[in-house]
Amino acid sequence: MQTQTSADDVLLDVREIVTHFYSENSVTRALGGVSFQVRAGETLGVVGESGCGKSVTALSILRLLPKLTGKIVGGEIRFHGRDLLKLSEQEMRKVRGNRIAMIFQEPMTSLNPVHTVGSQIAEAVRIHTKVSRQDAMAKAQEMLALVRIADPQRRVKNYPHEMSGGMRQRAMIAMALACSPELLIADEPTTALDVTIQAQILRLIVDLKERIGTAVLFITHDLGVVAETCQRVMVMYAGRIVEEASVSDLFARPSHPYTQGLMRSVPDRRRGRRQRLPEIPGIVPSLRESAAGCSFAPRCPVAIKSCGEAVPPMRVVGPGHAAACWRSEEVMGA
Amino acid sequence: MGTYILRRLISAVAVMMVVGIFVFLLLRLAPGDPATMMAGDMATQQMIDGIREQLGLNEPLPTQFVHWALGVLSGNIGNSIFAGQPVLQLISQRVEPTISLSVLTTILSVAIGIVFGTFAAWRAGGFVDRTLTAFSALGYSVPVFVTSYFLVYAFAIKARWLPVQGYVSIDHGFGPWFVQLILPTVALSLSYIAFIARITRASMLEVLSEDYMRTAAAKGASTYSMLFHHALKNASAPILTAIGISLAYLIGGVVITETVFNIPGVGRLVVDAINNRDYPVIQGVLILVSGLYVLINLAVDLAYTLVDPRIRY
Repeated sequence: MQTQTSADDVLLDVREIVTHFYSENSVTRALGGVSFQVRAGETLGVVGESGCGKSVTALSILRLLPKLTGKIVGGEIRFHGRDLLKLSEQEMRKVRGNRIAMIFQEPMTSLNPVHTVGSQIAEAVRIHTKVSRQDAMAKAQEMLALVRIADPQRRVKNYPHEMSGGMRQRAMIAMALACSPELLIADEPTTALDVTIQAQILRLIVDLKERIGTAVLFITHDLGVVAETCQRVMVMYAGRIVEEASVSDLFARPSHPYTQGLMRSVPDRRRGRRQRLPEIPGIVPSLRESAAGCSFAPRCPVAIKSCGEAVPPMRVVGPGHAAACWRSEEVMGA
Repeated sequence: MGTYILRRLISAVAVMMVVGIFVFLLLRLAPGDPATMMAGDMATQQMIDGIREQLGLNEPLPTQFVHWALGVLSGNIGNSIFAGQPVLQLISQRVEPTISLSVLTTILSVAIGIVFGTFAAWRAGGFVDRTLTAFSALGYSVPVFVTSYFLVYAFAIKARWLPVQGYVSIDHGFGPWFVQLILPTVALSLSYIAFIARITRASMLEVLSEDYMRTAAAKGASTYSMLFHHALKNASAPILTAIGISLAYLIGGVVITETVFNIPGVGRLVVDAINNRDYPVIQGVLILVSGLYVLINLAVDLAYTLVDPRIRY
């Protein structure tokens, strides 16, 4: 992306990542050459429908794809200039949870049910720093206080089933931030929570990010969440990035027909209650068959003949704003 | 928890009563006259009458049962027809080899079964996994006495590394005791290793795909920690059940193994008692073994609470 970046504040530089999933008799191209950068301390949003490759992008960065079925077949993931794909598994373990941490969508199932919450947070500390068990538990308690769990002294001894969903997600955040990572990957952290709890968790992530100075890669399908939390955002479709911009630019001048479709399908009070929400016609294409042209073309309202012939590259459409559409200039702001 | 254990112990008493009635009737309902049967082919009428008198068989059935049950409750299971000694005394003389063999077999089966199953699950479809599949097919289908004779032939007769048969009491030192028990223990363990490893593999395979395993990986946990700290404890409920079942079946295996290796344990005692139609001994062993089953089941149920904090009674 030709956005204005100086080389030294780029924390994560993902270049042309291609990730495949293998099943008995087919190969799914889950990521078809994804490139983006995360700068130190910023929050980058990733939006798109289910199955567009958001989570696969996150798992690819940490190399946590299912061992037997998923594989990164090409590209580079540079973290502080070092390609994570070239690290040994042992070196990679020193990155995970320490310099890059991750929180997941399902707080109900993401904590180990047979260990106390405190010991699970303490474990993250003990893996990456040489501290005693007691000091690690003290740190765990401190982290629980930091994520605003009341009565942390008692809560460290709780098992996950003794906590509510919101509290468990706070505990997950505490665990992820225990080693003050430089990058936090948040994979739909509020999707499984009640709306009121969602707002609290979002605020918590934004606050802690400021305090610890962590960069955040925020994955969500919710444009409203992006608007509240992110500075920059990229839109993914069918394993590719189709648009990238600052949040204000994206909302002001969406330059890809898919982004525009996404925005139209967000409820708007001004539109009146009885009106049906516009949806994007068609379904997400199967990633098994590789189409020659733009993968959005079959669903695109403004597609022309040439859209089916060649994959549109990311093109700059404004300062810090790029889109992968042959007709960006025509559709921009439409 | 305390009330739960109490409740379980009370229900254990009920179970033992049913077992008691069954064991009691076993003797009385056996085809033919038990006294004649016990006395054997060469018996005189006088001997038969004597046995009948001794067992109280000439009294009505309920009276007999009360007498017998009171005896059992006061620790008198009866006297051996054949040896004349109290059954309890006979069993206590024979219990050391049996306990030795059972404990060693349990330790070996559980340790190897769990490690084997865990690695098979970790590398599902790989070499260890395929070896396990082949091994467990063998472990299940080849009877204990066949593996026993094979092991004796290979390691005792051909290689001469280990003794062929017999038993040395632990009173004569740990070394001789242990060496003597290696072959019977290995022979008896094979099927239990196969069983526990299969259950461990299946249970671990399920746990390894859980979300919290991904969380552990995202923390930077090592493979060892992932498998044994995070996964195994979650996978252990079915494994505990399998161990409980193994312990129950172990009693049957012990009978065969003791016979093959000529070990003077409770298993041999039972085989001899069956051959001699020594009903009081059979009854005594049955009562003790069923009591043991009940306790094993209780122990397994209590062990669940140790591995899973969500289980509370």
